[in-house]
Amino acid sequence: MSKELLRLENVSKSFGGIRALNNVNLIIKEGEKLAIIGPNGAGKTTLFNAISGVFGLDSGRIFYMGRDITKLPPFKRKYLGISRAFQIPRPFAGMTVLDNVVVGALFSRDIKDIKEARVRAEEILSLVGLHSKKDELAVNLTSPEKKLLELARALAPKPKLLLLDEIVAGIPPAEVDKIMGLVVRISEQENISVVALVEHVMRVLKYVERAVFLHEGRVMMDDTPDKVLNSEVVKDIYLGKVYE
Amino acid sequence: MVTAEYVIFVTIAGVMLGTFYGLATIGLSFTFGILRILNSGHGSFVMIGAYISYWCFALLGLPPLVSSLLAFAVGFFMGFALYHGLISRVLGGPELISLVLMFAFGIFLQEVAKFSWSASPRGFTWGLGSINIFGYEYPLTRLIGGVVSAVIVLVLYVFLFRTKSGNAIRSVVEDPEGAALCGVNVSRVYALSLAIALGLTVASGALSTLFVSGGIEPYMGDPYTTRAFAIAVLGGLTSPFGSFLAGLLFGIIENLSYMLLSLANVGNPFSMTRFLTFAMILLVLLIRPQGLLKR
Amino acid sequence: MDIRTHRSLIILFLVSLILLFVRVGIPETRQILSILFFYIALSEVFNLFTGLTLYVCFGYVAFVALGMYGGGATIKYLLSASSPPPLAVVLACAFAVAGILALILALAVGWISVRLKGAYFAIATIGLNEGLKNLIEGTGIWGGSSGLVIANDLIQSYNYDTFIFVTSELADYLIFTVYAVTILCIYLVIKSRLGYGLAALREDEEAANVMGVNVVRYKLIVFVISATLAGMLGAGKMIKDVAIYPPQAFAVSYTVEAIVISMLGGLGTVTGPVIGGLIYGVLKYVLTVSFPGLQLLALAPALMAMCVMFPYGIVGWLRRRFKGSKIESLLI
Ligand SMILES: Nc1ncnc2c1ncn2[C@@H]1O[C@H](COP(=O)(O)OP(=O)(O)OP(=O)(O)O)[C@@H](O)[C@H]1O
Ligand SMILES: [Mg+2]
Repeated sequence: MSKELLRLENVSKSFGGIRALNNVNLIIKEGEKLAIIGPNGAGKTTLFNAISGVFGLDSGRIFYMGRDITKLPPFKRKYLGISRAFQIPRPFAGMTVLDNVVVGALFSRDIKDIKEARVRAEEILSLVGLHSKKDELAVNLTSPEKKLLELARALAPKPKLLLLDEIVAGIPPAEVDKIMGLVVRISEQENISVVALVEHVMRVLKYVERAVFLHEGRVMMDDTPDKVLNSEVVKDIYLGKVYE
Repeated sequence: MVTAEYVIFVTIAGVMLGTFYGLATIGLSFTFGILRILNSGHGSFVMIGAYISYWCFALLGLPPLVSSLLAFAVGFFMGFALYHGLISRVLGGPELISLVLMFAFGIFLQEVAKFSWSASPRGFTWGLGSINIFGYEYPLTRLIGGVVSAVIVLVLYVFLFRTKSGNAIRSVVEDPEGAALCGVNVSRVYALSLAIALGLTVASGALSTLFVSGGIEPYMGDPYTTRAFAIAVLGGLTSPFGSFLAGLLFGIIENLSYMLLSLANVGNPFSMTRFLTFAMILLVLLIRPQGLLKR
Repeated sequence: MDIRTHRSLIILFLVSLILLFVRVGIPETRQILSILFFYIALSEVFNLFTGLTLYVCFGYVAFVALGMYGGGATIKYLLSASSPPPLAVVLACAFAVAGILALILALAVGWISVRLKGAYFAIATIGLNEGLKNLIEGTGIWGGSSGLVIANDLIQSYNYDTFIFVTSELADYLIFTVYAVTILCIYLVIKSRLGYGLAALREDEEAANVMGVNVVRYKLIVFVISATLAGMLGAGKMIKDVAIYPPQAFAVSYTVEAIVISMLGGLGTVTGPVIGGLIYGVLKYVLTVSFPGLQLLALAPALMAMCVMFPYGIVGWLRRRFKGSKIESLLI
C-alpha cells in the first residue's frame, strides 16, 4: 500500500460546551480518495479547520508526511501542500477570477513565479470551465460558479492533499459527475489525495475508495463506502435520509 | 518623603479618577462590542461634554452635576443622528471606512469647537471646598465626580439587565443573526446603542471638568482617546463593564505612576505619563490582546 | 524586459518629470508645486501601507516627525564640528539617519501591531503620534518642547546663498526623489508576489492565510518600507523648513490630509495619490489663501462624505467605468 500522508492523533476541539471534535484518529494515505460523511453539525468543517490550521487544537496532534504540523500556521501548511476549498465560498471578491486562482497557485512550493502561476491558473480555469469568466470580478459570479472557483483555487497549487468541503452541494446533479470526474482525473494525474466532505455519501459514492462516518465529533465508522452506507449505525442516524 | 498615608491618599484619588475614566471609556467598548465599530474620534465627544459643562456653568450657573444630564441628552441625540446619517451606510463594509469616518467626525467636532469657541483654553471652578484624607486636602468636587460616575454606570447596568430594550441589546451582542430571527429590530438596537454610548461619553466629558478644572479646549479630547483605548484594551474592548473595571485600575495606576515619576525626576511627569499610556497599550496588546481582565 | 508592460509607470514618471521641469523653469509655480510635491509624496508613502493593506495607522505622522528630528539632529551634529563636512555628505547622512530611525520605530511598533487585526491595529498605533510627542517633550531630548532649529547652523557652516538654495530649491528636489522612489516601490510591490498576497489579504485575511499568504510578515514588510520612506520624507521636510516644533510636527492634520488624498485618488493605486494630490493641493492653496486656518473644518466633512459615497476614489471609479478598455490598464 502507499505511504501515509496525514495522521490525526486524538484530535479534540470544543466551542464553548460543544465538542466539535472528540478524540479523532484518522490516517490518510498518499493518492487516496476519501469521503467524510456526517449529518449537519457533525464536525466535518471543524475537522478541515483543524487540518488547515485555522485554529489551535484543544488536544491531540497532527502529522503530515511524518512531520508534526500541529503548531504550524495555515500559510505554512498550504506551502507544504495542504490545499482547501471552503464550504461557503470565500473568493477574494474584488479580484478577478484569474487573479483569485493565481493567488492559489502562487503561494505554493512548486510554483515559483507569477508567470508560471498564471499559466497554471489559466489551465485550471479551462478545466473547470470558468476560463471565459477569467476577467470578471469574483463577486459577480453565480453561486455554482463560486464553488467552481473554490475548486480551481484549491487545485491550482498542485497540492498533495486536497480538502474539498461540500464541493458539490448546490450543484445540479448533472454537473456533479463532471466536477467529480475532473477532480478524480486531476488527482490521479498529479497523485493528489482527496478528502471530500459531504453530508450524503450517495453523491460522491462512486468516486471514493473509502468513507469515514463522523457523528458528534467522533469517527463512528471507517470502511469502504458500500459498507459504511449499509451499516446500521449510519442508517439509524440518518433515518434513511441517505437514500434521498 | 513618601509616607504610607500619602500613598493611600494617592490611591483613593486614583479610585475617584478611575471611576470617572471607567465612565469615559464605557461608551467606546459599548460601541465596539455591539456595532463592531471603533470610535476613533472618541475623545472629541468628551471635549463636547466639557464645553457643555463650561457653558452651562458660565451662562446659567448650572453645576456639572446638572449639566451632565444635558450632556447625556446631547450625546444621545448625536448618536441617533450619526447612526442614521452616516454609520448605517458603512456598516458591514471594510473596517477602514468606519475607522476613517469616525476619525474624521472627531476632527470635525474639534474644528467646529475651535471655530465657534476659539482655540484658547477655558476653565471654571465649582468651589465646594475639600475634605481631609490623612492630612491631605481632596477637593469635594472630585469625590462627587467619582461617585456620580459610578452611579451612572450602575444605572446602565440596571438598564441592560432589567429592561426590555436592555435585553434586546444583549441578545444582539450574543448573536446578531439569531436576534434578528427572533424579531429583534437590529438596526434600532444599533442606533439606540450608539446613542447610549455617545450619551455616556459626552456626559463623562461634562464630569471631566470636575477633575481638571481648566484646559477646556478643542483638542483636549485627544489624550482621552489614547487613554480610553488603553483602558478598553485592558478590559477586553468588547465588554463595557470590563472597561469600567479597567478604568478604575487605570486611574490608580496613572496616579501612582505620576507620583513615582515626579519622585524619580525623569523628565516632565505629565508628558511621561502620557507616553507610558501609549507604551502600555502596546504592552497589553503584546501579552494579551484579548484583554488582561478577560477570563 | 519589455517596455510596454511598464507603460503605465513610465507615463506616470514622465508626467511627474514635466511637473518638476515646470517647477524648475517657471519660478511663479514654485510655491504651489512645492506644496504639491510634499502632499503627493506624503500620500504615496501613506498609501504604500494603508492602500495596500487597508490597515490604517492614525499615528502615521509620527514617522515623518521622527524623520524631521533625526535629520535635523544629524545636520546639527555634523555642522557643530570645527570643519563641517561637504553639504552632500551632511544631507546624505541626514536622510540615512532619518530613514533608519523611522525603520527602527516601525519595526518595534509593527512587530507588535501587525499581528493584530482591524480595529486592534488602529488602537495599537493611534497613540504613536501622541506617545512620541510626549516622549520628546517629557524627556526634553531634541530641544523638547522648544523645538529644534537648524537655520543658523546651515548659514554659518556654508553661506547664505547656499542656505537659500538648499531650503528653497534642493529640498523640493529631494522630496520629489522620495516621491519617485515611493511610486517605484509601490509599483514593484503591486506587480510582485507580495502584491498578490496583499491583494488577497485586503479582501479576506483569514482566507489569504489559508491560501498560503504569510499575512503577518507581508503587513510588516510594507509597514516598515512605508515608515522608512516617511522618515526620509521627514528629512526632506526638515531641510525645507529648517525648524521643527512639537505641536506642528505632530499635527494630526498631516494624517488626515494623507488619508483624504489617498482616498480621493484611490487607495492602493499608484496613480491615485497623484491625482488626489493635484486636486487637493490646488484646493488647499486656494483655501489657505481665502480661508486661513479653516482647512480642517472643510476637510473633515469632505472626508466623511467620501467614506459614505466615494470610497474607491477617482481611480477606483474610473477603473470600474472603463473596465476592460485601454484606459483601465493605464490606471495602475
Ligand atoms: N468557530 C466556531 N465557533 C463556535 N462554534 C463552532 C464553530 N465552528 C463550528 N462550531 C460548532 O461546532 C459544531 C460542528 O460544526 P461543523 O461546522 O464542523 O459541522 P459540519 O459537519 O461541517 O456541518 P455542516 O453540514 O453544517 O457543514 C457545530 O455545533 C457548530 O455550531
Ligand atoms: Mg461544514
